[in-house]
Amino acid sequence: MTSATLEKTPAANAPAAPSAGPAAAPQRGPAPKTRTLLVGFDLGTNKSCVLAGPATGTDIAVSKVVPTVVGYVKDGIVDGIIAGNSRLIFGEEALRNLLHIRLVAPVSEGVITDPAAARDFLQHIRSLVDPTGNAEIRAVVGVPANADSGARDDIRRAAFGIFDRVLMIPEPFLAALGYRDDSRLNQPNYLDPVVNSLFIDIGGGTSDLCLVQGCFPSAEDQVSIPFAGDAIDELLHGDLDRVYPNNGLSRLKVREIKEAHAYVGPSRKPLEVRVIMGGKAHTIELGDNLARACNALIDKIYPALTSLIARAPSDSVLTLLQNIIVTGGGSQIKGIDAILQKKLTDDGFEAPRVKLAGQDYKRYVALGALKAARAARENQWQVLLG
Amino acid sequence: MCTLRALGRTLEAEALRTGEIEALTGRLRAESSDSDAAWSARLAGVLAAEEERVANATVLAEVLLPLLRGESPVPPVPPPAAASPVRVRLETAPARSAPAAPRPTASITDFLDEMIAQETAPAALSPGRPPRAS
Repeated sequence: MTSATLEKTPAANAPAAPSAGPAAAPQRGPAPKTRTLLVGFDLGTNKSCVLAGPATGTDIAVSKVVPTVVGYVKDGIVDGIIAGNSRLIFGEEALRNLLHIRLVAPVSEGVITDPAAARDFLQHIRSLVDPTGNAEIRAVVGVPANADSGARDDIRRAAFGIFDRVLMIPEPFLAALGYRDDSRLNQPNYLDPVVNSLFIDIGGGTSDLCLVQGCFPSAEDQVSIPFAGDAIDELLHGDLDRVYPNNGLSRLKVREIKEAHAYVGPSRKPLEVRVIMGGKAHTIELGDNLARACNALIDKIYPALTSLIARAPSDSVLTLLQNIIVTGGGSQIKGIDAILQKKLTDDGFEAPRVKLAGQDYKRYVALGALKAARAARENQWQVLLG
Repeated sequence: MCTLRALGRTLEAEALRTGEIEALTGRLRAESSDSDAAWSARLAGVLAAEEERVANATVLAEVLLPLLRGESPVPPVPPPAAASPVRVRLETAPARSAPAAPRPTASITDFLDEMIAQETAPAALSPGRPPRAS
């Protein structure tokens, strides 16, 4: 079986060039914009989430999770193999047609590393939000905690001509806004996560931690660790290659195995997984391999967690310890809440409670971004200039 | 509905009563085999229980709030400012066993002002976290 190579290019400093090809972004002339659409956009390393709706009201007209990949169709592909004979496909469609495309992942460790592919991807996102192409698009885009100016400029360059206005906000803070249940703010016993909480957002490229205590977090209140889902995949893949040489498993297949079986804590054996290697079915035992790869994440996150707890004012710490929330894809790792809670307890922290964000974990950053888009004043938006 | 009434938001409470609640109770009534009198009594009982629960919560909050202010004063949250960034420390935590009383929360617009202030302020002047209380 041919494995498509997932290309992640080194960070480029060159400005993004508009992509060429029949499926390239349609040239938008100076036609007046008939309406304004607000977008909350979580540009993830592996998966992106976009929520969009009108500027007024609370309706969400578009809600999509799209794998952050662009597929450039190879030359010579027979007509009809790719729907609409497109030269450019995205997301799930690209992953379904690995044999016929060059697959590019424009984001690595939370930042854009392929500007051209990033522009193509953003144009695709725009087409999902506004098929007519007539709307003014204002997008709040989540960025990793403490993303530097270069990373932010890359997003602006990629978004120029696609989004009309942007705001970039750290993802774990957006997760807190999204996780907050606005309908319960007046309930006496509701613990507003924006007032006193610590969010741990474990994505594909980065694990971001953020102390949220009723004000916008400073740089010191946020930690971004370039170790997350992709790093676990790499560790697991390396382990598999060592134990089962020439296994032929692609990184995507290894990620599937991880997403199905990942856990932290003591090794659980036997953990048997059926895989196809060289066209033949094999059952391999992965208990120790998964434990090693996933527990490495805990080793990275825990020191950052305790360092942020240490920053909180002492009067607030007891409530903060009750409001530690794990979100992002990493929240699906079995036992991650229990293990972090146990480590805090063992280290003497008073009655900590680590919670999982729940099944909506994919949407919270984008939801918080959309809330921010709806709340932003005119002079808070950034206008993209060429 | 009971909470809205306790907060003095009677119009919203009435809208809820005549809208969503009436539609829901109507559907349940149609599926119920109770007599009209029995149904009305059940509904009245539920409403009475909820009103009492909200009243108890309100009283508890009124008792706790002065105690909380005495131990750890919460600065008042200013209304959203048009231009100036606002940095407000909203809470110092109550005792873990005591329920949190409702408190005003800074708006998202205010958070954005703070974010922009951090991004544009020189590093030496950027607002930092208040000193940790001992």
